[in-house]
Amino acid sequence: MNGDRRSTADAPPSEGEELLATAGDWDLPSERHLHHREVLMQQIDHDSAPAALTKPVPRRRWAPRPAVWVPVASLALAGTLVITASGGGRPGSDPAARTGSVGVRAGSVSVTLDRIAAAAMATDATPVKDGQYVYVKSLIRENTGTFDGPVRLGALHRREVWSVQNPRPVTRGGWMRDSGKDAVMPGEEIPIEFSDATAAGIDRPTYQWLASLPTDPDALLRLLYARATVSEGESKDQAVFRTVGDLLGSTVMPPANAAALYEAVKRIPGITVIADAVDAAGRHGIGITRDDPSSATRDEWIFDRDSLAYLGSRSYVTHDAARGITKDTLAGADAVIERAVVDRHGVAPAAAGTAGG
Amino acid sequence: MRSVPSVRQTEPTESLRARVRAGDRAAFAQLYDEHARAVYSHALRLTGNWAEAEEAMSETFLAAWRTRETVDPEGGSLKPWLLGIATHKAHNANRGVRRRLAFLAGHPPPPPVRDFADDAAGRIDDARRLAAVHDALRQLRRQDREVIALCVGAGLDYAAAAEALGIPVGTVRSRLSRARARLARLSSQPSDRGSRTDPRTRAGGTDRNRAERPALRGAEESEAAFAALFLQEDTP
Repeated sequence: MNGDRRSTADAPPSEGEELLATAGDWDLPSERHLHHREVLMQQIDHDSAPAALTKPVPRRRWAPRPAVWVPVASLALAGTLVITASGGGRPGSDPAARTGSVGVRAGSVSVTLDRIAAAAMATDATPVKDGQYVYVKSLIRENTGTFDGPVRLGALHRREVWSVQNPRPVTRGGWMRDSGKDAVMPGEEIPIEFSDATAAGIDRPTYQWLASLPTDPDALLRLLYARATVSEGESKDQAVFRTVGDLLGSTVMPPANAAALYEAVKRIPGITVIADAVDAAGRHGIGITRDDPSSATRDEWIFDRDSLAYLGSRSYVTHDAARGITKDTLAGADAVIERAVVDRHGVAPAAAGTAGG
Repeated sequence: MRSVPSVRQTEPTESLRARVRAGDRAAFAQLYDEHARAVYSHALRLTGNWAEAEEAMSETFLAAWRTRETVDPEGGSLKPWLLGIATHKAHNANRGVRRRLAFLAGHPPPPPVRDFADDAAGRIDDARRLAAVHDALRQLRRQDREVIALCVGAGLDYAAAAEALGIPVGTVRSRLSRARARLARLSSQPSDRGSRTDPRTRAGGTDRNRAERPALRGAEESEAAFAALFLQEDTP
């Protein structure tokens, strides 16, 4: 490479240079620009918020946040037991689950979520009628310790949930039934009660409500930021990420809406990819995670490496000196085993038959 | 340096640089509106990949926000600053591609960029121009490529390119000269001049797979860059 010896500064530009000079610019569609501009503005607003709102509060976010809504009855029965949203998994710090997140760039987050979205778009979902129930069977591990004490992971057990699809305000959101060791009232069907009658919405996400959401990721993200409820200590970004995670693990939704959710998640600051993550059932896959310094927690979603289908989730407490937690501590995990649409609650699909085929 | 939103608005008479340094929200909105297209195009020339370029552009503005206090209060347009960050992001994206190929091996290719352009003709033309430009640039050394992309592609003058890359103007000159000489040599090679059957240099090719098939010299350089990437840090 001794080109500078034969400088061509005075020579006419070569074909390659001419090409470079005349090719001009390229541009994104305006909606993509609006999106990236909004990401920037959100980051600015986030970083500029009064310190009080963003100061780390490594508190118990373990206030009950089971599935999406709070099964009041089961909480009351649980007494001091704490039900975490996405309990389960293997005890221990699981350093393996975290290797791979280091050094994985944001670009790959985007690519990975694009693929997950594309896979979601290619799946089928049976429309659900108002009188039916969405059935989700999971394996879960929950934190059975106290709010203020160290994490005590309970045994892996089964949970079945039947969600009411009636769009009108109801106080009974559905039923749940746990079975196995460390289950609350094993084998009993427990009603999921709301203290106030609640219509289909972010707190009671029915199929029809999900189907009504915008499929434009930016519009969807705006809606999620507007409606996600911030739990104690967590950032708004985390509230949205957690809310989406709850939706992914507890609902049946149309493919276009699922795809839009994944595209929307790409825009939440702080998302990273984990090359190898494990759900509560021991299934390995690709992880999507968000470390939330504000609440000192980290949630992970796990996707099948081949089909890119959602498998389950894990939740960690990353730091809580008062509880003796100084490194990522698994506080819950789950694994979705089956989703179906059924006509009656209390009956598993195998017996009831999946309505609507 | 936290301030509440109400205090964040600076006097409109202040320079854009001062407002950017102060973390003024509107200043960043203005920065985005004025330069997003140039940043995106620059990233495209360097990566040759729509998705990577979009990501690099987005990251560029986020990095600009994070590093706003490093902006010199005195000076002209902030475009060189942004293009400098974008150059770095694009370089990291190119490294990331290699990483991802290993990580995602066995997966179906990503879906085509859905909304890049509305009409198919425009999309093909865009892809054609990009393939041609990227084909020319990829045959240069990284440092030479970055300089010529800034000076000839993005239209910065020597001083602005020097500011963007944080190098002396003289270095910009010599790298640009070397890049030009190499492009001239490649343009005059018989294989390129003749029947133009070499797919590497055929302008107008739209085969996206070629992006993964480096030209010979590019391959050697990519390997070196790949070997070094684990030692490098991302920008703030």
